[in-house]
Amino acid sequence: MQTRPDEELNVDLLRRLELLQPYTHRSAEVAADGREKFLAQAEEFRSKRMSQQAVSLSLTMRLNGWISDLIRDLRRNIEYQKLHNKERFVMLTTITTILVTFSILFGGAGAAVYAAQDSMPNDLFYGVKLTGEDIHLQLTGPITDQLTLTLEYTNRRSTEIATIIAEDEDIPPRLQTRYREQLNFALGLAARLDDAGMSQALEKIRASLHQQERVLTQAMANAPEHAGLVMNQVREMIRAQIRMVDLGLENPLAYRLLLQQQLQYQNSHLQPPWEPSDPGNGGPGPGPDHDAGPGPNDPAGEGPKGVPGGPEDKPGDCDPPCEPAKDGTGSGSGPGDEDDPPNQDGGGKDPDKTPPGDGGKEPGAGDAKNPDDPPDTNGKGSG
Amino acid sequence: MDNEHTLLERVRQLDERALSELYDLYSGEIYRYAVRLSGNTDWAEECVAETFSRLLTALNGGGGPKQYLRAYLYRIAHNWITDYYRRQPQDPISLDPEIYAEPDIEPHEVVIQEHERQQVRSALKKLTPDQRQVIALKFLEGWKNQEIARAMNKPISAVKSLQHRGLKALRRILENEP
Repeated sequence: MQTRPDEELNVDLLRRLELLQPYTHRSAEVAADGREKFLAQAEEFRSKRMSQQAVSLSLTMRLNGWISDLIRDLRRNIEYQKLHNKERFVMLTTITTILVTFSILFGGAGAAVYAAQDSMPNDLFYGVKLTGEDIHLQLTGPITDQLTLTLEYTNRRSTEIATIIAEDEDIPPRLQTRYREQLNFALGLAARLDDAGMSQALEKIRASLHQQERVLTQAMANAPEHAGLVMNQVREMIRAQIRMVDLGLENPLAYRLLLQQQLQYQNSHLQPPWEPSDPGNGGPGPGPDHDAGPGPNDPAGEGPKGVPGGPEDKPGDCDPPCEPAKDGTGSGSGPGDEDDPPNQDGGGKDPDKTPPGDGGKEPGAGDAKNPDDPPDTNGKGSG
Repeated sequence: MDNEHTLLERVRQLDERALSELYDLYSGEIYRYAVRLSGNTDWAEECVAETFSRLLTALNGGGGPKQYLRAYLYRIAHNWITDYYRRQPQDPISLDPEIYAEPDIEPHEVVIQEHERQQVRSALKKLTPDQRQVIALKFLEGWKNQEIARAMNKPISAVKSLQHRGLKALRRILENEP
């Protein structure tokens, strides 16, 4: 057998490789279709990213503003009480609020909170009750626990409304506002979970909403005529929230988008009415609805400000769940036969979860990690 | 390079125009790379779609290229092709090859050429992924060693070594082909 020189062999080899260079050109139609799909996927990611940012920003803003809100509400309460020469109530409310804060912060179920537990919206201690709710929520860590607590508070609001109706009194606007904000906050909490978690959370919210609707429907049966309009507004609000929940269960992306739009709208259009030009003026006084002015922790605004916020987003709160980039290395072909095809296993992995790298490491080729390593599907080989 | 760096910055923000530009700039190249290795246009389209989709997923998760977009895309495509080979023990081109024919060539020559192409592709498939990538980028795509080194994140000396051993292995495989 005659052996050709290496060089001649390589020339022949290169000629054969060159045969692969001509190729069937890409169909413009297929290329356009691929481009469209790529951009649609990008749009989806972009929307999700914006949604997460909006929710996160909103919650952060609430958290940052919460302490100052509390202090401002306290100061306004004092101003209001001064105006009405009720110094002893000033002291009482101030001390009570401080007690609430300290008792919760240091683990005790304070007497002040306990005293305010059963207060109604028209009561002096109602603001303390709401403050207590907010502080509890602030101290609650996981989103799911925050949700449970928030839904408990919305149940309270519906019961309060039913009670007020039964007593033939007017429903204070701030109660409606608070109710709506807490429901919105619950929806926002759900949006911060991943799709599976959000689905469970929305089911929970829906169950609560149906329960609250039943309570209010029963209350309406005995409601005085003048309460009908407000009650209808409240029920309509609950139904709107149920529709929102249904949307979230059917289409999580659309749900997040809509929620984001609502947040943006609220942030850009609605100014809390208790933001007077003169901050020293304790805001609107008590109106005909027996609303005792802007009480402690009364958000009294349409925006998200004043709604109890959660802690900052945690790494685990990403939606979709964050997946840290991993570097991986393939492992080499067996020693002694460098030309063996790689012994690879575990194909078909999720590219996002699989460490990047090469399926088979070439002996002596080096395996420095690259920050640009792409998602890989064959990051693991066996050496 | 500056242009690519600027483009990368915008792509990382998922900027629509930047992504359009990116796709127009590189999808054709990736398609060509895949179709040369496979000879199958559907397969190549799938490779393009998956490559760009994985890029988006990586960007969305905070990953993605830090410096070289093009090299990154080729690495994704290379990984996809390697994975595809592994999942498809049979040569994907053997069932429904799309024969490339130049207009002025005789039909029997077309058949011979296509047979030779299939042999080369089949031989390439038997190389290690690194060897295959070096050979494909160097001799099919016409890249320089420095570019290949960047795409593979290996020193140039390693690229040269891979090229040498890859050609040697390819020659041996082709000699043993019937």
